[in-house]
Amino acid sequence: MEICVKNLVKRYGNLVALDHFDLEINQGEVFGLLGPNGSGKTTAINCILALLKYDKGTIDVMGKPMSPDAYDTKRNIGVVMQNVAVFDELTVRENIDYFCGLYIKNKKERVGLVEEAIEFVGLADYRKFYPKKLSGGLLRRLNIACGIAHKPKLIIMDEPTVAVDPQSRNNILEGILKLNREGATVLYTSHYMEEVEQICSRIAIMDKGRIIASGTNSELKSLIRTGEKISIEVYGMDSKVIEFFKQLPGVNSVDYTDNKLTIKSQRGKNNLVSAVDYLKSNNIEFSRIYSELPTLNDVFLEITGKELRD
Amino acid sequence: MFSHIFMYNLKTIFRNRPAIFWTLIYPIVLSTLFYFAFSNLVNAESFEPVGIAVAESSELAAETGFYSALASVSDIDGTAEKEDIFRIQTVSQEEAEELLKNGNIAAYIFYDDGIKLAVADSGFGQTIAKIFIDDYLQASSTIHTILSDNPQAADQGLITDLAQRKEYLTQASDSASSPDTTVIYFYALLAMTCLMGSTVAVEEIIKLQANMSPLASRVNLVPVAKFRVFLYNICATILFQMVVILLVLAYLMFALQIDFGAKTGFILLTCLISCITGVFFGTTVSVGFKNTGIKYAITIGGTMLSCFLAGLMVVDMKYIIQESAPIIGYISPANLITDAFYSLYYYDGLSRYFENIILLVAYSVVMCVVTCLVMRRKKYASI
Repeated sequence: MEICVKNLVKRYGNLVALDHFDLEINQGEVFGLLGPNGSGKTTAINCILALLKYDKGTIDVMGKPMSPDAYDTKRNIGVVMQNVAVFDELTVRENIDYFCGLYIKNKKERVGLVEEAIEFVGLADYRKFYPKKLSGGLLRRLNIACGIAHKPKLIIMDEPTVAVDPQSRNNILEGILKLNREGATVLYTSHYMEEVEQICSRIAIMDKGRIIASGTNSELKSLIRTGEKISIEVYGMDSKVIEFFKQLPGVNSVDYTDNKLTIKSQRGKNNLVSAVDYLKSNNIEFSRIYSELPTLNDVFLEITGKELRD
Repeated sequence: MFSHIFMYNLKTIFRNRPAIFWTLIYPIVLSTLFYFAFSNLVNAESFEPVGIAVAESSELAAETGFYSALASVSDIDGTAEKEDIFRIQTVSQEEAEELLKNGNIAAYIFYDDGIKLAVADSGFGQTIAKIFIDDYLQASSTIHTILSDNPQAADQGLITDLAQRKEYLTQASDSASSPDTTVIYFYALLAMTCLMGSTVAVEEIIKLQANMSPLASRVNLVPVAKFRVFLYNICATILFQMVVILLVLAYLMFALQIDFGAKTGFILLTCLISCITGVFFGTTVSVGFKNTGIKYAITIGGTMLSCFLAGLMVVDMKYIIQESAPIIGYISPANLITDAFYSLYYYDGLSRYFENIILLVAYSVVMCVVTCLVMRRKKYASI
């Protein structure tokens, strides 16, 4: 097991940031830690990395208790922080070389790894650029390169795609999967559920310092009652229509807000055809109608009663 | 590992433009301003020979004693010497009047029933010329009176005796260096440059305290002891500061021709110790306060206050502190640095110099220990 956290409690005064937090990550996984802002993801990571003091609990990384002096363990960990952490006075290549050099003593080996990291994040054309000359997306890529250049066995990424353009985000996500294929275990935190769904083999959902659900993507979705979500974009809606949809078999809820009607049905119940027929037969004009499977946001909503991005 | 961390840290410091400005450019600009301000001051106080003319006449030519007395204190051949009082032109009476009228000379000497002095207005030069002539006339009158009463007096060395001037006060100096109060300003400026290294040191600590910056968090995650990274970074900071101080010192000595005395080895030692003191002052302040603004405010404010007390803005402040609150003089690092330079310049002995150096070393050791003790902290309550 790469990371094993048991019963972790971290308080900031009266605020409980981590409330008996448990986490187990196996070797070779891409593990997603999903939760809204302020749910305790970064605090958990900082505790795991022995940066933060905590009140209670145990943390083992790669089978050994984690401490600030656990240099042998640290040698195998790569960290990509939420905020860009590079030297403004060093070029792209120098930044990567500096951090890589703190892990790899052999200069020859280091040169190869630095070049590999530069290619990996697609910064080959920006080797001699100073960070201030890079766009937000490129800066994030540099931040990642500094964290992974030494080819760590365990990579911890704390919201690496915040404020990143879609193209760079896709590059980063593809890169993470590539690192995983090369043998690295990845702990990935985000409040973007789509990213977590896209790359993570297992996911834990956090709220108020606790893990409220964990499992694979499908396991999490099976935890909730909703099986199908039909959305109809329509201007003006009669209460009779809403009542009709509520009567359809297996419907859990019907909600009409912002000119959008949302019908949530139980797993195994499909009402899309019935809904289209009803709208046509009653000459109700609509701009779009589509059916979706539940998302992690729905899982979060059903468990906590609030949106993931609240 | 040392060379890797040391070289990269050196690069980051040398590419840090604000650091270069405050530690190198600012002292050079300030020293240049000092130089021009003080050179005008020195020029205003320096003595220039008084320009006078001698109106040619046969009666005056007969006064050989006067001519020889005048020649002994005058620049006649155009090669001015330190002891020259007058710069003389020998011209006709009309030309002398014209020169005086145009303000080209302060006075002219002419003969009209005795040696006389013509002036157009009163002033420093005119007063000197008047005193010289009065002195000559008084001495010649005394000689005439004595010789008329006792003609043998000439053989008994009367002229030699009267020509002699006895000084009852003697000027003593402990050093071969000539006294110059303006160098205190430059010592204080050098002290400021050394202590400005504290601002660079503040940055070094910010780069290591995980609760101060994301960069520091990353540095705390590497498999190298934080204390080692700190030590290597500080070595680079001291080297940077030493290079800066050598550049400033070279500028002062070779471009501005400021005389720091001949004890170059001790001057360099003072610079090195002062740089170390400045750097550890910065690290101590930086580990003591969490707010970045407060860190810089205290280091820059403390440095400037210390330099003010050492005479950077008003040279008399150094003497006031020495007289009324000597304890501040022992506490203030800038005062100790200026005093070390001062004692090297003015005294042949080194006891006072080493007193200052030992205090600076002691303060550096104390501040280094405080920094290390606080830096031992490995985990933080919040980030």
